[in-house]
Amino acid sequence: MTLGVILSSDKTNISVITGNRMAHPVLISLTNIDASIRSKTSLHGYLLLALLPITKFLHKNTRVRSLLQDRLTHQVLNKLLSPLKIAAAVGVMMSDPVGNLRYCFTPLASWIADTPEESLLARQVRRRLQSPQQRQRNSATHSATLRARALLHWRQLKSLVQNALHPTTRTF
Amino acid sequence: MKIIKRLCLNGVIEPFWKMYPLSDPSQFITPEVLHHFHRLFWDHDVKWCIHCAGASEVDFCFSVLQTIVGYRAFTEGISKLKQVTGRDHRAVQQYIIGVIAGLVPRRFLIAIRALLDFRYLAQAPSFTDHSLANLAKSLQEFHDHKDAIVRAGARKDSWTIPKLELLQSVIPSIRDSGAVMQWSADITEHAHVQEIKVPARAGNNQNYYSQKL
Repeated sequence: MTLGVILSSDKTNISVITGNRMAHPVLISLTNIDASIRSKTSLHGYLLLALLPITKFLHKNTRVRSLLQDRLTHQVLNKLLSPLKIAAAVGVMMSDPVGNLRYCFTPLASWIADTPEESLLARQVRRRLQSPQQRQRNSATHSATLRARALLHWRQLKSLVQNALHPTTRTF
Repeated sequence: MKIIKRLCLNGVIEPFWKMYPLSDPSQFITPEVLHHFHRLFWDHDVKWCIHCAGASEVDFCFSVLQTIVGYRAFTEGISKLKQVTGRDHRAVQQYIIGVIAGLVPRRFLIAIRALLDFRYLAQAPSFTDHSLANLAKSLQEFHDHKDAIVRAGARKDSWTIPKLELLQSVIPSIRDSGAVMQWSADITEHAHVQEIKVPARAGNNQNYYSQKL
């Protein structure tokens, strides 16, 4: 079965009055949880997955500094999501609440973030948003090889993903 | 660096979604109600309306509105508001048509109304082919009537508004990954407060990271 992963990130200020402490948390959730339940904060549909590093680089050029920060973020996310990538590629066995083992895949379904973070994830320069078609073109170089290899796999799973993403789908 | 800039990329060569099957940024980055719809309305639509109808007139109309219990009242008008929250954006959205009706040309009103229609229809919890067709129709209606906004002088003849462009991708995204409302950022932003700020305030201001994790 398909477990769509929802991630969300937002850079926030955590100090109350003094200081300048920032946190960059990443939250994780699941598409199989009903949307109405997920949106209630008191039900804790989103769990804290990690805090991304916020660093100060010493390079004198501002653009290089932000470039390094962006690359670092991507590297950390790469590390962070590597188990999910493996699970999305070959699947894992997980038990459902009843206790039955299920063969699960974990594609990334949605990343909820504000506009600058979205452009960071899509590797675009801030303030220059692109349409999905353009994004697809940009990401094509990376995904093309992958897709050719996994085309069969893809087609089988795509219908599954779409079913799982339907907001009214209930798992249990 | 220059090539990167020309391609509108930010220079990350190893994106984290590389080799992540079934995950593509064109799909998993979904349109998002708070930042894309409500901010667009506040940053552009309201500016057009104020420009077209006149700031004092709009403010006056807002100030004489009958306040309904449970609804936000704007006794000072809206043109001088600062630090406006998403909730206020929505409140202005609810009033704006009634306020500017009669002050602006008819086609201008239709354009604004069509865009509002699009926003409200896009927030439905689930969609059918029929409702998606309605959604497409209201966006088309805006684009058919947007020349009135230029004619009223509220906008120079360029329509390169990134957030307006993003509205084109709403319908494909709904077909692809379900209703837009579930990806709204206000829920997760609240969750971030819950998960990060509340524990941070409960602590003793020492070693934030180790205490939270």
